[in-house]
Amino acid sequence: MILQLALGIITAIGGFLDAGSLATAAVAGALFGFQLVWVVVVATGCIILLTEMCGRLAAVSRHTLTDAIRERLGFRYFAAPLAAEIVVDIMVLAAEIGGVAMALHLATGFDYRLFVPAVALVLWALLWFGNFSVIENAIAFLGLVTLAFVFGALRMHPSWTEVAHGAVPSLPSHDRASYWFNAVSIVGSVLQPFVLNFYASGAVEEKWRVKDLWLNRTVAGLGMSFGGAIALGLLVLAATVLGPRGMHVDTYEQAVPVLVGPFGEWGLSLFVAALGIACLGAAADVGLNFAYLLSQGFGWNWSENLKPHEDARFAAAYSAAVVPAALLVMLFDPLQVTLLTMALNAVIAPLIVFPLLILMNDKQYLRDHTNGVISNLLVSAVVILAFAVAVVAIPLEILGG
Amino acid sequence: MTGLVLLTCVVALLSTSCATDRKKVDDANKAARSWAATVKVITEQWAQARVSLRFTRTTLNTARTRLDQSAESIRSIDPQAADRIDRLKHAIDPVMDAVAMNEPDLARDRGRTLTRILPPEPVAAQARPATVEGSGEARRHAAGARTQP
Repeated sequence: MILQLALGIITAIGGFLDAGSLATAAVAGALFGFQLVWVVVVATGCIILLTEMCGRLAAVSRHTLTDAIRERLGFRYFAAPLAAEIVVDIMVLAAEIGGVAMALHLATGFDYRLFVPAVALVLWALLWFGNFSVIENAIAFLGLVTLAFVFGALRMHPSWTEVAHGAVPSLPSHDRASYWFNAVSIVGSVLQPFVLNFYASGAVEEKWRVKDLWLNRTVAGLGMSFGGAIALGLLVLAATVLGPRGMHVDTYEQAVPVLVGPFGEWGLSLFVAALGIACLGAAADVGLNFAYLLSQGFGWNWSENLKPHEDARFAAAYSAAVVPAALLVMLFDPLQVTLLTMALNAVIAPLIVFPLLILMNDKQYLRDHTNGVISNLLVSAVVILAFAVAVVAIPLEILGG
Repeated sequence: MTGLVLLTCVVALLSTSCATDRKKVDDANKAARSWAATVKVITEQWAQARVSLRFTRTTLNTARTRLDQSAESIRSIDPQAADRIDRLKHAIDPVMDAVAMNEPDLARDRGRTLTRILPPEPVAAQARPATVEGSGEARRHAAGARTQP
């Protein structure tokens, strides 16, 4: 029981941390100090509520999110989130593959593009030959190296009073467009739509039932909180190490000093390991989610625990996703792809979150476990706000180059 | 009436285009200042044996490439700003030479000269920049960077 809980929490931390959360936290800390701490806090609270809902939906109704949306709202509606998530999942996958390739670039000095095909191949082999437990638990366990960001932040002795002040929402003192673009990117990096369906699919894969609702609450609450704490650790590090020296994070090289500051000669190795493992784990999750999305959407056989010949279309789906993602990251800078994709996550979030809220208030699916008013209101407010800001901030940031 | 609407549209388009150009130059300058700071910090860390020679070389190469891209992206809008960024880019060459000769102290000293061409713009870590000018270590760093020759 304790092992199951520990693995669940570690997996949730792994699900939270990826190229997006690492990149957005580093960029935000370097540019705005502790000013965007509040966005990480709000978004983490929101993702705790959302993942708990997805786990509850799966445990009570034995439906994944995709399954339930298609069944409850019909295929005509489902086509919109399906199309949006296919595009954004490929972009997220590109960002994650790019993150692993950049980690190898930092370690070796060779052009990251040289590593992209190899990373894509390793990822595909992992999905093809691995099962759900191996992918989730093994990589997520290795991902604990990202705790270096938390210990690093503690070693830098920042003013915790100032960090706490950052948790109170504030308006930007400079670079308004950039401030709001970064705020939206942080929200998008935390509220990634793929995480929701992946979490629900994982709950179905692991056969959660109503008796497992406590496990769902604990995993969603603790796992996502720890994930948020790690992202916060990186933001604090960037704010204390990079910002005061006038460094921004336009490439991953510029983020390395965040760990060299507190850990000296170990800093580079720790950064490479944290970036590479977090992105590889997230890439496996996104690749699987892409296959879950298509398989559940079109009613194909699906499970990562089946052999590829037993769910051929499921295996074909993740195999097909890896190719365009690898091509995308070969053509564009991985960090820029990551930041733009994270902001796009906030744009498409309402397409997935509002159907989820409809389902969570439907007694046919949730029986006695429907949502309360407060969680409905909180999640709706954050998602609408993030969407509105994203629609304004993304064009401004793109126009500015 | 139609003419007035068209004129308003043209004025709006022109002002958006000017604002976009200004932002491009501003962003390129900020990125260049940030790269100057990056080269300074990385060469200092290499001199302290905290990062590897390979990583230092990789970062300098990336800095040079990015500065080149920044300068080209604004050359038609603001040639003077592009020239300043070019000067910064060329100042990286002696640093790269020192790295190639495996001379950490020389590389550090040459790396510091970059921040004289385009001084960095430090961001204090605290969460209330509008009301507080800076505090603790962040303020010391900020002051140090601003007063550098």
